Amino acid sequence: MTDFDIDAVGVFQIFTGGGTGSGFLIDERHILTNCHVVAPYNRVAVELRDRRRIVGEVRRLNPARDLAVVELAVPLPFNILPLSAEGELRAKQPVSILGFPVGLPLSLTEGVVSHPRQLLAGQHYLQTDAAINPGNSGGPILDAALQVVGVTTCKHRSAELVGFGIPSPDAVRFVAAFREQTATFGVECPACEDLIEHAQRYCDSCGSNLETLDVLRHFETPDPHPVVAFVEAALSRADIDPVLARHGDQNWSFYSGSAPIKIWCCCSEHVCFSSPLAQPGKRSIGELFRFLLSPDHAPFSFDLSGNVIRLNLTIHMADVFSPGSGGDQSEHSDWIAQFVGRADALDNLLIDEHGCRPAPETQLTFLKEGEGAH
Amino acid sequence: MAISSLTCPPPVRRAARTTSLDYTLLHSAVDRYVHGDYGPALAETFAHLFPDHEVPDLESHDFSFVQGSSRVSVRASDGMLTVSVPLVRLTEETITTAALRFVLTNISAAGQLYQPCLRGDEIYLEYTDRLTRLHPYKIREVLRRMPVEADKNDDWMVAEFRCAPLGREPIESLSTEELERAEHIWRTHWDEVDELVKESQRMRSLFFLNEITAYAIHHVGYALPLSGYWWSRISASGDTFNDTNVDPQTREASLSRCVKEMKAVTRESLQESLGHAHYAISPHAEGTEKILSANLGPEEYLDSIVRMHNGGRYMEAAVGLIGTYNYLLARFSWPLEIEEMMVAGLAEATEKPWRAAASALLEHASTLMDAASESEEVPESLEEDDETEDDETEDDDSEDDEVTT
Repeated sequence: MTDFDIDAVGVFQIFTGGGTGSGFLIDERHILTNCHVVAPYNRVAVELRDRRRIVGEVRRLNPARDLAVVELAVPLPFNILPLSAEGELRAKQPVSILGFPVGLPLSLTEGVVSHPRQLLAGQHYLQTDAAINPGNSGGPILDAALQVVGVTTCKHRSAELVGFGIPSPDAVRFVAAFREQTATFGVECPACEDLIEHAQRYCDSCGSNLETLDVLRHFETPDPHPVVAFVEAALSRADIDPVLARHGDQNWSFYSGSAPIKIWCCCSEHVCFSSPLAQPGKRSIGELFRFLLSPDHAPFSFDLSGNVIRLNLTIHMADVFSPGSGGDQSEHSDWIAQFVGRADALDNLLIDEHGCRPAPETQLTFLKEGEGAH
Repeated sequence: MAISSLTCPPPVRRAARTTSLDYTLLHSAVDRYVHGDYGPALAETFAHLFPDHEVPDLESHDFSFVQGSSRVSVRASDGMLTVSVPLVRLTEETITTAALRFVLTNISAAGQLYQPCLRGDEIYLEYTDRLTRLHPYKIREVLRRMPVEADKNDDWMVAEFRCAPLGREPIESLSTEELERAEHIWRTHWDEVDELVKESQRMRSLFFLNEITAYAIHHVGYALPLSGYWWSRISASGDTFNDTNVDPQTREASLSRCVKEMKAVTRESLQESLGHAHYAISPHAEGTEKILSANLGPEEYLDSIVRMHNGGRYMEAAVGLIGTYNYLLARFSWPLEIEEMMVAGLAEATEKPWRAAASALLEHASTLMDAASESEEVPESLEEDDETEDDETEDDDSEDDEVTT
């Protein structure tokens, strides 16, 4: 493989309230990924190289072949990897996998085809020994000519270097069918692969019971967990699109200006809001620490994680499930909105007035380091 | 010569005898809170937490209580309730930047309701919330955890950073006889742990390492009324040597360093960390049948011990059982009858060769379990047990061989 610019290639990380995965451009407006990466969400977040996120609408699903097409809110001018229509792979043929393993930035792993058409549970898979990890799902498996020969989908739980991809001919058929269809959203029947456009008990074409085949859930939006509903309502009030903030189950991450914000449930009792803002400089550190420990910041507080100053807010689950003051959660929502606003202002204040240096995760640093990137 | 037994003397530490908590009061408080009955909910929460105290009407009177070396103040005004504990004062002698960094790194944290704050040169732990937002679970969490945090750090900050004590409650000194016994326990304990570390290095058994690291902490925690600087030092080292996620070599090295440091402690210095503290809220969780069963019942852990005993690995079995008894006594409060049985069990094992000690404690554990299940004073389980279990439950992965990525 030569002249391969990893930063220019159209492979992106996908975020939902269920987890993260990978996906790749099939044209400027559409991404191909796994069904299990996006389901049961109909809107997902796609992160660009500069960490900005854009919304993607899920248009097609094939739960049996674990494929999905996502339409992007804006076209992305990145290199599109061609889908190989030929399925003639051979064992020992070199392959590469692109994706976002364990949340790391776009990474490439290499291996060979272990078996071109391994039969598992009634389906054929491309088996490879290239390393596959959580977060790789939905990413492309490439041959030496940089053609997509498979879509990464799973690995063997109790074995090393036994990974599987959906063979590209299946992906080609799925994408071609999508391009011929006009329906905004649809799910391919697991039995006959005809398009189901609405929630219905039986497939019009093959008569399969779609309820027992677990297709109907793809037409429903499940009720959110109360913690999710609470946090996302508060984010909406703070003008943050919750879809763009989701980062797995009861986890959110996004930027407020240059400040990264992370929200998670640390235990069964607390929802934590934290923003790594800056690192202490070399002068007036005592004064800085006094500022950070001032009671005036309440209900917010600061701590040091390693050498990074974080702004924190903790909300007790009791305030989510049994809010006092007559059940009014608006004060906590206001806190969350204030937290988002303050984090953005405070990183600058710490740098300008207290001689701090930007924290590694702040957008400020990233933008400086990322000059020239797409 | 290789170590052939452990010493399990009667403790110098006095068991904290507090009245069992009435959980019907807590449930009633939650019910009242949910229905908007905030004042009575607050009163019932405090009545639940302080069964031995007369708690005044908090909306019109201040209230304070002692937890070890800390005095906790509770004050309501303008519809807000503030709970605060003084920690230390910064003086000209203080290594201020290091002290404040310690507070920001070790005491401030995401995921806790109370936080430290600096008022002038005085550092407090504080929690403030609106009276109409004081869910009983929030109050319970703050009143239980915040004073423990203060008690754990105040003496440490005084000794380590030359801070001045602030509002520190006196702790009852040990009598001369108690001090003699405490020092003997201290010296014997670290000598024995030193020998156990050598055995661990020889055996290279992770099970044994886990047992001796737990024993190193829990025996002094149970036998001695230890707080302040030396307890903080042991706890800080224990964060490494007693953490099963850390690699074994690092843990062994950390324990060896700790043993060396503790063996060098002078009598005068040790004395400063010893004393009978008083606690309005028990610093120990209530012992339950569920906890006893998890440690000494017919479950995985005891099965391992029995297999070792039957397989002639007497030292591992004995150290494991002695360590478990010490853990149960150090971390939980038990009805007098059960506590006395455990202490008697340890007395049966003290200075006995490994085989005899293990056999005695295995038999004793069975008798203890029977006594606990017959006792009306040992609850089967508490809400806290279930909460802890929830926190520690690992994700339930499916059994499929393929795993999506």
